Amino acid sequence: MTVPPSARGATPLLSVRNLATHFPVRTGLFGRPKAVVRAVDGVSLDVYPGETLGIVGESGCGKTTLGRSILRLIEPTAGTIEFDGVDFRALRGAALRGMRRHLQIIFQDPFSSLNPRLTVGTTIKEGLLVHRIAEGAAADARVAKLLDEVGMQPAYASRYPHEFSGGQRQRIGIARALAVEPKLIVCDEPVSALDVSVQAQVINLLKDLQKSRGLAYLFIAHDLSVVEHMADRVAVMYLGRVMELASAGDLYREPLMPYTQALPSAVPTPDPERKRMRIVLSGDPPSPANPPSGCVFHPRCHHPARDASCSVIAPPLEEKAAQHWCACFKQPPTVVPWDAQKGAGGTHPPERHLPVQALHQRG
Amino acid sequence: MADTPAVANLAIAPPATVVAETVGTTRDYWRAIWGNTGGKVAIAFLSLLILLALLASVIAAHSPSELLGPELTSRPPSWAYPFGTDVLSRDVLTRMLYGTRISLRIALLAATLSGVVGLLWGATAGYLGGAIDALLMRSVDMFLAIPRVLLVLTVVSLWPDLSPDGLVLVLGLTGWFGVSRLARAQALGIRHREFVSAAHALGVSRYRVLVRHVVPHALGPVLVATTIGVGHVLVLEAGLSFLGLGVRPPTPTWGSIIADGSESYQVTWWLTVFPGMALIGTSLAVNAIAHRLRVVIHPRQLPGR
Ligand SMILES: Nc1ncnc2c1ncn2[C@@H]1O[C@H](COP(=O)(O)OP(=O)(O)O)[C@@H](O)[C@H]1O
Ligand code: SF4
Ligand SMILES: [Mg+2]
Repeated sequence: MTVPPSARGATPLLSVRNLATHFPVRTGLFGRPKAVVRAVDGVSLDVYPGETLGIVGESGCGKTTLGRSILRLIEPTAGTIEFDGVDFRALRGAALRGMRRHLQIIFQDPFSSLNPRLTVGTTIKEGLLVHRIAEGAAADARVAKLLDEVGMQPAYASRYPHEFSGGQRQRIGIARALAVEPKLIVCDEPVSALDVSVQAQVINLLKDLQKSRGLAYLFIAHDLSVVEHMADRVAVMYLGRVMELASAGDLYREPLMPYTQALPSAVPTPDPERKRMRIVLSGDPPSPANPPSGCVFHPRCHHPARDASCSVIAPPLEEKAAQHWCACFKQPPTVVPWDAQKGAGGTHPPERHLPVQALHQRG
Repeated sequence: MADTPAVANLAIAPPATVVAETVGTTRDYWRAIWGNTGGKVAIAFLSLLILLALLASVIAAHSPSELLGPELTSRPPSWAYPFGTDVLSRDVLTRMLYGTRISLRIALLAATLSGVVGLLWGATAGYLGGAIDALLMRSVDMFLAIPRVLLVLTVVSLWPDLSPDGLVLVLGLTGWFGVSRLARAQALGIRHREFVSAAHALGVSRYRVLVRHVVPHALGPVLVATTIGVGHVLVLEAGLSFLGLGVRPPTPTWGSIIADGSESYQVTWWLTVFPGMALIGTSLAVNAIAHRLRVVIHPRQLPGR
């Protein structure tokens, strides 16, 4: 499986291919690993310098596991991670730790992401000291500058995390990540735990930092509403897989994957005469320990051409239009021939389905 | 009487499931102790004992093994010999002063040794997890299955001419198993916290994460256990000396002074009462302090913070 080269023609900063992270779950009587949770199951994606790639999907679809596997905070089961031309999965020991400063992470929970026993300054300074970026008074000066950069008073360096609100803590976490001058930051639902009034401030801060520092983001969110303000391109995940990958504009204008079509979005379609139809997904996503056969989305799919072949054939992630990738063989064009679909019990030939309706048709 | 303290020591393994809910700063701990009458009394009592022990050579009128002469054997307390004299005509006050020095030193050092070993062992196991955790904690389970007294008695009876430092080693290295379980529980509680992941993502080495993030988090409960451990070691040491298995004579310890009077305790009550009171008083003080420290760690378990 390949992934689209950038529209800008640049070489990717991060190239992930067929990444899989499986967790053994011990359910046997004697604790034998009986099943595996396929939290991430064959994900390929590229992130280009300075861009934001959004990762969207329901809770439990493997976004956090994907982000942490890319950073090797969780060791992946299979696949390759190339960062800045370096085979990141091959690194060990000091070489790995040295490389880590270039890939940072911002966490979802601002309360567990800061060590309550350390002052803000000590927390931000840790990366500076470990990578010998600055020491002593120079490090303190850096901390002050970083705090200022994330919109906090430099004097806060001597305070403890419990003295701050969730939004402020998130800013401290951002300063800690920035301290080591990363090229890529994985933002794992950085505003999900914050008050709505604070969310926009943190989003704007992240955008400003991206501009001033040329950062690339892997921006994880559980629905499209946050990502659409942030992302250049968006990958939609379902059950540990990437189901659709397109530029943010294309994805909102023409969501091809039936799952994407059902994701709530806050952006109105560009044409005021047309409106996105509200599709309500039925049921919960299946367990990643026991994913459905064929297309993993088939039990919840509303595509009119969905048929028996959907539970047999696993749809490849294919390029439906320029730079628009989607894993659904009922959405033409497809590389899965109709004969093959019929052979697998298919009764409905592929048919273009877009849940965008003209307003007058809705009466 | 000799094995009463020993039996009390069988119950030292604290529950491994209790995880500290809050973290305290040094100031929190100090405030919890000093802001309470019992805590103040305990600190005052211990400070006095430590002061007396440190100044033993200045205060004492005699040397601890000096024989005052046949006419001064087994004399009850008097103005000249406030704590009386023992069977060998030695001044008991002098022996108490020097004995306090040695008993407290052994107890503090041994408890600290237990605290440090237990903290590092448990924190490492909990933080690294997996096979290393299993290996480290299974060995702890094994040692916990043997009563500490039995362990101590075995080593001590095989060790000829045990010095006070040797006793520190024996008592310290048999007292950390329960502590390590506490430390492990704390480490398990934070190993998946995001600030630990953040440190890994920053490229902080495992060793540094252990020392900077994991160990400090386990410090509170370990401090409480170590404080309680001081009392346990005191009593254990006294029991050993009483059995003649502790520090070799003529070195005085609280336990050996009691042992000196054990043949004739109906008559020479002062050989039992003074060291006995020191022993009980110190144990009470140490437990009172541990109790106050626990208030910081589990504020909800104890009313009246
Ligand atoms: N350490 C783990 N062991 C077993 N299963 C896990 C572990 N971490 C995550 N999972 C499972 O993997 C799936 C994906 O989880 P996660 O990556 O947290 O999803 P998301 O971030 O999208 O909500 C879930 O079903 C979750 O229960
Ligand atoms: S392949 Fe079939 S089940 Fe899967 S999304 Fe397409 S139509 Fe739905
Ligand atoms: Mg998540």
